[in-house]
Amino acid sequence: MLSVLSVACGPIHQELRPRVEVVRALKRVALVISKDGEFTVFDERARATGTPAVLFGLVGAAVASAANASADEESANSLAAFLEHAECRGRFQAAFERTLAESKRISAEPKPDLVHAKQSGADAVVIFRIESCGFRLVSQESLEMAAFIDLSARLELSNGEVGWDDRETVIATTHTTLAGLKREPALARRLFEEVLDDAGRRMANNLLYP
Amino acid sequence: MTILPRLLLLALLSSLSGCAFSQADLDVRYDPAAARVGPLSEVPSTKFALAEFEDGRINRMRIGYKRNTLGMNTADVKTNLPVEQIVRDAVQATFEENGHVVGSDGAVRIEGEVTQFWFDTQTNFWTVEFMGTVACKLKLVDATSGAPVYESEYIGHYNEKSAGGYEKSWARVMNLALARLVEMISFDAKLADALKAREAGS
Repeated sequence: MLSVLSVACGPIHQELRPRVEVVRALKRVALVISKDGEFTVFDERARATGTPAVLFGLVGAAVASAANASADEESANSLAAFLEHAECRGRFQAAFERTLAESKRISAEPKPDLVHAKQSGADAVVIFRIESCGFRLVSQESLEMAAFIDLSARLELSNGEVGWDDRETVIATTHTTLAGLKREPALARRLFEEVLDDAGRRMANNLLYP
Repeated sequence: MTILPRLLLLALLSSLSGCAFSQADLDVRYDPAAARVGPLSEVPSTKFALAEFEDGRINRMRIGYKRNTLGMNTADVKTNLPVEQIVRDAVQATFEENGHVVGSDGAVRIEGEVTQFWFDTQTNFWTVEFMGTVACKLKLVDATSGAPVYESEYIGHYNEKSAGGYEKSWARVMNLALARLVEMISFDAKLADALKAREAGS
């Protein structure tokens, strides 16, 4: 309700895209995934309205929120059972490294944390923070879901300068209903894997083509 | 407070929020200066004929709804320009930024169909999430023979949580979704490979 009333005070998102002069000098980057987000489904939570809060106050909002989260968790668990690897990191990271390697211009060395990355002597450290991945409602007007990954990217140069700082949600082009995903596990798996591959390639291309 | 006073309060708050019932016309247009280069720039410079794009959306009347706190639609959200023109202009700028010539005739014809152009809001208790999604299909054909060169679907999505925001914020969200869409085209290595293969074979 507050958000409806405060209609003119939204923050301006400040994104820092990779700059040509920064990226062109890179030959070897250390790669850190600082947060490995969990596989999730945004369906009931994406349909939620302020009605429970209006009618029943904070308690109503809390109860409705918990019920929606529980329903989404159930959906995520049932979909995860179909997917061989219902996790965000592996496939995304592989696609990122592969795209850089194929370019023969920049190589990426995975490191367990920022300390090891900074000690590696690489030209810069690329840090991905994966918030979540899975399937989410495309719009409230439809029942269709899209595979997605939500992440932020940051490039820290050896001199401490930040060369890239951005957040991105990559979603799949093919959409289908939650029931459809549950009916066709192979489709769910393909869409999920494709979006992780797309995101990895996209992040690498951000470095290769600033 | 019982339910009836809450509903009355809600009605009052809705009326105070002013523009909730009037149509919003968003100024969505691609900034050519924001165009990115990608593998598409590694294709030898080609002259493309850019056809008029089609609007293949299921709902062509609007690009979204204004919603009240109860999630009810209160007014349409539209764009000042037709969505097929917005996307076509962005595609043109992208090909040009990647070193190609785009006009009414050329060796390769680009046909496009906008399949999604949607703005959505998700109102939470303390924040509101704005979501923009733009998708299109592109089909490239040899202008002389009519042989297909490449076909693909692209999608750009942008979302952000905020304490609030109105039409300028919504337009910015849609512009960023549009920018993500054409980045995908620029970054599409398979598109670049198909154009290189056509060039090598011609």
